[in-house]
Amino acid sequence: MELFYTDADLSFRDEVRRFLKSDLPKDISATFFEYRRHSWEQMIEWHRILGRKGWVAPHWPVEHGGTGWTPMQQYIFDSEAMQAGAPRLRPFGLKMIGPVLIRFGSEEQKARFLPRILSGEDYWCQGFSEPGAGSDLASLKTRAVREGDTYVVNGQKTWTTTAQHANWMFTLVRTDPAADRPQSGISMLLIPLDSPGVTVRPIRTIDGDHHVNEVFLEDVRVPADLLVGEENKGWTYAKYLLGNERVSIANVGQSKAELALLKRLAAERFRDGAALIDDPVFGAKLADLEADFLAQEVTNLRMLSSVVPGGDVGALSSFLKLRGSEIQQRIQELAMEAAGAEAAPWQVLREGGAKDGYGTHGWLFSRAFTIFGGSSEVMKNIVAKQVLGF
Amino acid sequence: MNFTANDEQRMIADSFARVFADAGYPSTSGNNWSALTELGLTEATFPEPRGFGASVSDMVHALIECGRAAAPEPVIGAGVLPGIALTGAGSAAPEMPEGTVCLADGEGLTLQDGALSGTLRVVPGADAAEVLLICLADDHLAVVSMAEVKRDKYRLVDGRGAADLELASVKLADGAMGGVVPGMAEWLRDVAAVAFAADALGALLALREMTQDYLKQRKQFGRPISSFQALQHAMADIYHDTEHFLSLTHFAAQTCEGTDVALRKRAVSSLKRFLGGRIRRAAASAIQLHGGIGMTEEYPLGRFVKRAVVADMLNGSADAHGARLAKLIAEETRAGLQEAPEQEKVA
Repeated sequence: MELFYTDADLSFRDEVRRFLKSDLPKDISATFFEYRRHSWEQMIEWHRILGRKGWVAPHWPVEHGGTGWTPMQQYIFDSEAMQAGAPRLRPFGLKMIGPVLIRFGSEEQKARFLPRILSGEDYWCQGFSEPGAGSDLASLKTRAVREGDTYVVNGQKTWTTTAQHANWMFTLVRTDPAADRPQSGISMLLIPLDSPGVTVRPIRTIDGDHHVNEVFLEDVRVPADLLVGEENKGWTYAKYLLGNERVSIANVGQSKAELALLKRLAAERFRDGAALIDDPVFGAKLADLEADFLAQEVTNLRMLSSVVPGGDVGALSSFLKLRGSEIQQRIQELAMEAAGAEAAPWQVLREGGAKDGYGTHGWLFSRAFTIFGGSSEVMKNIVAKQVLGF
Repeated sequence: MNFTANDEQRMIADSFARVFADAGYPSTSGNNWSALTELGLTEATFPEPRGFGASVSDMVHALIECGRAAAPEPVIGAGVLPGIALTGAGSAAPEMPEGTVCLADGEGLTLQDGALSGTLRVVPGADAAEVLLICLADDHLAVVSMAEVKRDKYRLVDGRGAADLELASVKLADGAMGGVVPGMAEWLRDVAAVAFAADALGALLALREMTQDYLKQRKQFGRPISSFQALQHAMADIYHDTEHFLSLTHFAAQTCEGTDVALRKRAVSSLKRFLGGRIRRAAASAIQLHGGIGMTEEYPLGRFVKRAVVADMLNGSADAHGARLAKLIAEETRAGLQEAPEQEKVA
């Protein structure tokens, strides 16, 4: 992408590199280059380092703590940080509820929550999916009934990523079961996870890890000032939030770093006496992945350049999510192939943690990418309706 | 990142589009070569005063119009490419006689005692040209008159003209051999791949629009077939593949003007690999989505499909470009691994 860098971009990149060299802890970058997954603690540590630097939410408006960087600069920062082995910051506060509060929240909510998202004092999780409401999210049943200054919430959320670490959950609840459309009776509530009646239970995924949870809500009393925007307008906020989530999942900077790591792995492993990277069959797969990645990288920058900061990314987020998630899966797939027999041992209980960067664990976990944040099939439905006019 | 045409690029593209619209393309087929040359459009890439030295990325928008109109004129072979070769060679260019020029990749020709011999197959625009400009494998440009060459003219599957040429000890005239321009042969091959890809992009944009409209209009089982999810998803794939192809085409065109040869090879080979993979499948899928009507010669969809297939077949196969890309990835990765400890030492 250097071809498109201005002189200002180049000096920005150098500034980013200097910062990463001096401030990214060595144990954190080593985790990435040893093909391991960053721990929650490493991620939080990096979040707080960026928070102190003022670089933790580049995409936010400057008055709320953003950096005022151009989309290109945001991409430079993101891809440089990922290539240096930095953890990917969890998007729930920074990319999901933060922008929603900035756009739709009350002044009190902004003042109360935004600084704590930036500093890493609060951690958020997303209470959207339910056992009976996956792709058909608007059919959700968790009920919130207004009693004076309080909502009383009953129901169950699931696939709640990092609920075991979070202290807050932004939650879609049904406030008007009689609305003419299911989408019209939904509100967004901010729920403290230490409220009486909240129970978080882990769900172990097929990679052996604990990413997601079930969250049970039994007569949870939530002060009414924790309603986002207006009652029964939650679907509008959720759609805005999901657009941002999908761009975040597309995650081109992380793919760039993981693709580079995959190439390194292929250069260091041998098959029949030759480096895997020189193997014509493996090389052809790498070449196809490289071509598809370059197409996605350029398209991502082309499209994000056209979005004004804080604006609605709309249907293009579906496109970027769709293709970005497939690319990430293929990186994991080739990393698993490159590791060969070494990918097979179940590594979860091993000393130092699993080598997810090339094991079957990474591939197994990557199957989730085309499911969460809106499945690939739902993304295509959205494109068919919103872009193609079908 | 912005690939919108600047004023000059837009002007050239609009001029092409106007000639094609007047001619009734893509529903008809004709020959508007003289109309295009009178407007100075076909030789925009030639050095001044013949043209104004437009680059391949200047021409991308115009070539998109050529593809969109399925225009049969040899705009790339007998206009864009020879001009870019001459402009790129600068003072090392040979002396050019008058007349329409086409460019041939001279790999496989032999030069002995100032005479060229050998066979050139499938040279686009060679049917229409009076002058043959050849880029020899050792990075010289040479020029010969078509009158000295045995020529077998034909049409490509998409209706554009080409020829096979046989040179039997064709003596080069004084000044007909230019100077060495290091890397020129490979650069020109990449430029040609990009020019044909830009044209194919125009065809794909037309094909996409046509297929989208057809799905909305065509009714079966009492409703528009665009209401069926299987077809919606197939169309969404075509849509996305075309957007990616557009990005790669503009990106690759810009790398052809830069000094970073590795980046250019990576971009152009990615483009060709994408063209021979996803775009070929997208074109085939458009036929499938149309059903029987998509198979008929009368219906214009086939013209756009063929346009993309020609770009896919010419200037190195998708497999050859895949191999080049794989080699490049291996080289760059190794260089990066050796560099890493060096950086640590310096720090």
